[in-house]
Amino acid sequence: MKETIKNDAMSSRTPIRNRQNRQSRQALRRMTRNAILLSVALVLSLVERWIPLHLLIPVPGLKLGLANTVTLFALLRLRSVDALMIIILRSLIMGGIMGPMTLMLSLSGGLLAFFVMWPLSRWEGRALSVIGLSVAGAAAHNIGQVAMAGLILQEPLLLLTYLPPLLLTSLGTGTLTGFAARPVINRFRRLD
Amino acid sequence: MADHPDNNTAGTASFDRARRNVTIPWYRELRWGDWLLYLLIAGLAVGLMTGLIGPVRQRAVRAVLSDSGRTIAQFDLSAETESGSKAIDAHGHHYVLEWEEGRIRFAEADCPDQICVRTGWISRSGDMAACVPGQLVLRIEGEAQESDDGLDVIIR
Repeated sequence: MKETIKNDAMSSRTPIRNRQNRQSRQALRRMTRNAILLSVALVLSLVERWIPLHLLIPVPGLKLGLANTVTLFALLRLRSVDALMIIILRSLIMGGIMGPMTLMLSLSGGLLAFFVMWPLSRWEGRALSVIGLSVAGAAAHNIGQVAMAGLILQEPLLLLTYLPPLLLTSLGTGTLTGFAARPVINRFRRLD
Repeated sequence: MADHPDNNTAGTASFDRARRNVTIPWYRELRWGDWLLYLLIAGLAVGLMTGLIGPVRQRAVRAVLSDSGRTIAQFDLSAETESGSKAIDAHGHHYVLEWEEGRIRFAEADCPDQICVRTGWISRSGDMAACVPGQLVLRIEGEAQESDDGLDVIIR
């Protein structure tokens, strides 16, 4: 952080070559940060498969959605494009590991969650908290996923049988992941 | 895609508090929008659920297994049915269906998400167990749909 401030103060006096250096350094820093966040998101989505949540709450398709903490962080502390890219790349890599159907489900859920949380994130701190944002993302993720499953299986009534219990549990899982993301988000200022 | 200009203010309130070392309990951080979202989502869930309960749910007469909309098997679940099981292959995955009088389930599956197995026994008309990797939907049909025997008059 200290370096950035020093560079900013000097930028008016330093030659153009140094300014270009600073820009490319920032681009590199942003790329590295996004790569780290992507790997964190991947690890979280792999690790949460080991949590036997279905033994506790027997709702088919239920998961904690820990990777959403990364999306929340990127949305509130980085650029929204970064959040979108992390979601898309995470879905693609998870799809490569788990299979094409997982890719479709993960992508539909992740994209719907992003396009719900993105406009809502403008009101974070004023009309909403991180927890509300997380709950909205969790619910949107479930809606996107079940809708995609209904589309693949040609059975729109899946929305009636699988979605209501998932929506109700998303209130709980969304609150939990919001709790997990809150302390991390609160410790950082906007990085970009 | 450009960021919304207002987006730059997102999350500043919480960071200001963290910087000033002010900690507030989580429930005081909740705003009206949070409660509205909780209500909206719970309302949507309840709405969909009543849409499900709406039609009278009869006891299972048979189960229909379909592969992306195409019926591939039917199972008789009426009173005189013996229990049984059947192995099914679909889209590179293996499944075992198990049925008794009035109910049926995916007993085993080698798909990664196991959603169909965790759905458990289904027994009422309209109940479904689905598996996305194998593109299978197991649906229960009740008495109302049994129109091909020509004995009952169906009034719509």
